[in-house]
Amino acid sequence: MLNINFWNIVFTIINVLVLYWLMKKFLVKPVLGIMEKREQLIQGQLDDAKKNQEQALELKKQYETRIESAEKEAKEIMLQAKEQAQGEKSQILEEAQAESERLIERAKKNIENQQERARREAESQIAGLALMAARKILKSGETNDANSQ
Amino acid sequence: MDAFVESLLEELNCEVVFTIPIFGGIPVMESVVVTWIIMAVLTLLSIVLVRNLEVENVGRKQLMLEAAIGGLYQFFDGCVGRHGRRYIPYLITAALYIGLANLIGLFGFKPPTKDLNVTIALALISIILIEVAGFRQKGLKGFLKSFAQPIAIMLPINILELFIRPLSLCMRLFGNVLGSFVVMELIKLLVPAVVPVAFSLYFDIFDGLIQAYVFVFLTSLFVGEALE
Repeated sequence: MLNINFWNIVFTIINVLVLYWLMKKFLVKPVLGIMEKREQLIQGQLDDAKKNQEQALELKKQYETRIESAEKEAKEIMLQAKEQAQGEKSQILEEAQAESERLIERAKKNIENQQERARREAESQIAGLALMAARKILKSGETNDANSQ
Repeated sequence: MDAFVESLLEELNCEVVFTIPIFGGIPVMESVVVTWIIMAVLTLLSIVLVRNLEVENVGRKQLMLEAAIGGLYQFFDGCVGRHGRRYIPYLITAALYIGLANLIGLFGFKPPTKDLNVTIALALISIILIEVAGFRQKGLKGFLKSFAQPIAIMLPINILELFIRPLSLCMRLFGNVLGSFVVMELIKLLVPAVVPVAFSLYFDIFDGLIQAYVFVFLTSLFVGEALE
């Protein structure tokens, strides 16, 4: 129990050192190695995720600017189209105005022509009638004269 | 009673298992043989447990192993600091060895730590580790200077510490294991059944693990101190 034995101490020291070597080789190194490997894996995945996120953000920015420019373009196109439509509208209106004026003019002329013709006709008829009436009067005058005579 | 004392003494004595017939016979003690058994058990367990370790899809067995070794590593890392990382495998080995040595009484072997020679050997390794760590960290000049820290008047006390530290480490472990062993034998003599179980939980398992913890904890603290 209490007897100190030199060889015993030496053997124990050798044993512990051998055990140290064995444990280091078979237990500590593999386990810590695998833990470190996992840590590296996780770190790598985290880095990847970060990179992906950054990429995604960049893409988002790109798309946003693209959408913005597309919106601007669309607005411009619409504005242009509106302007064009406005121009066409006024042009059409003008044309219609001119057309209607022409039509009215023609109608007026027509009416005038017809009036003229009607007047002339009436005039000729009136002249005929007057002639007839005069002839009648003359005839009746003759008969009256003949009668009174 | 005499028979009991005799059997107790016989239990306490470390037998010479066999003698190597060179240099006039080198006695190989029981504790050395039990240490061999412990080494074999630890090595076989390590080989079996460390086989098929995976980086992903970790099994329950590997999780426990990693928690144990990782926990020990973290614990010692906190004690010895950044510069002492290279000494951690030894500290883990010492923790496993002393822990299993204290517990092996449960399996019917005589705990090697009950032999003073084993604890002397462990304490010698510890003090050599502590001083070598300090020497490697500070160089010869810094190492010699560290004996006069924090003030020159501490020099004799620091030199005394060189001997006190291993002595206290060795005697604490030896005394605790021996004491709990004797107490357990006495309890077993008084009440042979049931009651020793409860006491065995304390004296064999709890005290054994605590002493292993204290030994490696103090060693790592001293190493950390030497590295500062």
